[in-house]
Amino acid sequence: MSNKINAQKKRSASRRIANVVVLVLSSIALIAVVAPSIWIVFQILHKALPHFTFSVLTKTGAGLDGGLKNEIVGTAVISIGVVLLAGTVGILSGIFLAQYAKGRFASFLRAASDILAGIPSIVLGYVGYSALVVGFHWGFSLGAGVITLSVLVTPYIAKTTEVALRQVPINYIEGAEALGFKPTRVLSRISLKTALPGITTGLIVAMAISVGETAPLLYTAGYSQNLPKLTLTHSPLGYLTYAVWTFYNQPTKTALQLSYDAALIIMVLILLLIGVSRVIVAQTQRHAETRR
Amino acid sequence: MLQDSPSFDGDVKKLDEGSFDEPGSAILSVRHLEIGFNAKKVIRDINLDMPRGHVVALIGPTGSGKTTFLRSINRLNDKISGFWTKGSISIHGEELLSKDTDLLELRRKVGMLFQRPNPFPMSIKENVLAGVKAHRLAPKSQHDEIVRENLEKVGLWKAVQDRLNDSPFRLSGGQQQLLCLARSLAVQPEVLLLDEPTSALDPISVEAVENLLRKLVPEITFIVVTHSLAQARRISDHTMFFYDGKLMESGKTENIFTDPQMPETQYYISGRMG
Ligand SMILES: Nc1ncnc2c1ncn2[C@@H]1O[C@H](COP(=O)(O)OP(=O)(O)OP(=O)(O)O)[C@@H](O)[C@H]1O
Ligand SMILES: [Mg+2]
Repeated sequence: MSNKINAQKKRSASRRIANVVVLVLSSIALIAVVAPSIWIVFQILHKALPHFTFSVLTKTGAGLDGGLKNEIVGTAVISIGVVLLAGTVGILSGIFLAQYAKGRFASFLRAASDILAGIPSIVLGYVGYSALVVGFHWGFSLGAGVITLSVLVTPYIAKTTEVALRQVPINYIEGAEALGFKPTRVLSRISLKTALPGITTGLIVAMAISVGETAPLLYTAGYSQNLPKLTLTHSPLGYLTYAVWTFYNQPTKTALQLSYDAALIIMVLILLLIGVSRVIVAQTQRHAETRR
Repeated sequence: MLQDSPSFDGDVKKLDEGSFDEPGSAILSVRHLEIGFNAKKVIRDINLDMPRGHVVALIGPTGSGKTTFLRSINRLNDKISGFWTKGSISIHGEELLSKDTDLLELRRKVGMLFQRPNPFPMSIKENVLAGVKAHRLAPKSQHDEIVRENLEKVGLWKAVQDRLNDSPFRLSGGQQQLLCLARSLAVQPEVLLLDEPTSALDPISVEAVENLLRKLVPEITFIVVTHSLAQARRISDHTMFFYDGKLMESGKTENIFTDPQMPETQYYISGRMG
């Protein structure tokens, strides 16, 4: 009898120890993930804020001086272009993969998409350079930059769309079919609506990647100190990551400051994107079964 | 035994509307129906007529093919790989297993209520209107009226009239099922298929749904799969006993329960078989 109680005590003690160990390990993992992000945020704030003036937002570049207006507009134009192009292609591919692609053909498409997603961005940049900038004689241009970045993020958007669509409960879909919805209506009124938070998150991450990528753009978009021309070819343009990367290595103090300012603006933009995605998700999920 | 003859001979004359033994008065006719998944045969040579304007209970042990049969009536199995059918199911003499069948119109006429309530992720009001809008059954000006009418029909109006724009998922399970019923009713179906519609509900909601079915006949014909023999007795006019993919026995509910002819039926209704 007392043996039994002892054994139970021992077992509950070892369980408690296991609990503590798991808690400690997962806390360490969490800190390992969160700490660097916080450290980077503080570094950028610390370096950028003391010198920050709003004229940086309103002046275009002038040598190693001036403002970042041309880069800000350039990044915005490129990101919008990527969301339009990669968003359309990616979401349609995701729908196709989730709903229509069957068997070997579907596996082939998924494998192709995964391989594309695995290609380093600098390699894509070089391919974009030889094909578009040189091959098609587009020169450094908005078109070449947008297409190259789109190739980079399309597999990602396709995957998040496919996964989100596959998670739509079969209950909803069969309910709609049993009510006589056309397949396109099931897709537009039930599946896409339910999958929207997932799809939006994918789009926002794709946009954040376009704001933060450097390598593919160096090869394809070139650089310009003027506001971007809104033509697809022969239209080199500036973008924020270029400023971070280039000005940091320049000898002057103003250039270094511009570099930190650009980093700060990138950070704010990405935080804004995350905020916007949250609002969209909340708005679309008002009637959802489980709130996210 | 009854497999080759329509199953209600004998009882017919005593029914209120009487005449479903005359040609065309059965709303659904099934002839030599076989259903399977790949090499597996799930329904074996079923012949039956569903009488219009009644509640028909489908009973039988688990795996006997009730769900498969029910879902085939509005072609919900079509997308499942390996699914096949042979023979015929017709509604008003119109074949519904044909390639040319207009699935959307079929599903408007033959609705379905599922075991678990499945309101759509849209407001209560939009749920009721979902089918109405899909089939463009009424102009926008009539939508409010349709919402009210159908919610009143299922007895939900009082409870939800102030929150028509809210999410349906804050309703109780029973209320959600009633909402799904209102959604089905709003497209004015002739037949409603129900697969264990109350097995996920509490007793009070079960009673509400059962009373509703009784109230809605004879305008609508209900085909109800149920594992509750007590429920089959309470709500149905006719009972069909499925066993191993075959229709073993069918007839007036009263007769099936008091005077079953087949030994399998006797076993089953005496509760000695799952
Ligand atoms: N998608 C499917 N693929 C293969 N076999 C299936 C499929 N769906 C059902 N079956 C088989 O068909 C038979 C009948 O199943 P069904 O679900 O129609 O029975 P049921 O009478 O509704 O049972 P229950 O009372 O448990 O709901 C079972 O043997 C089942 O395994
Ligand atoms: Mg079943």
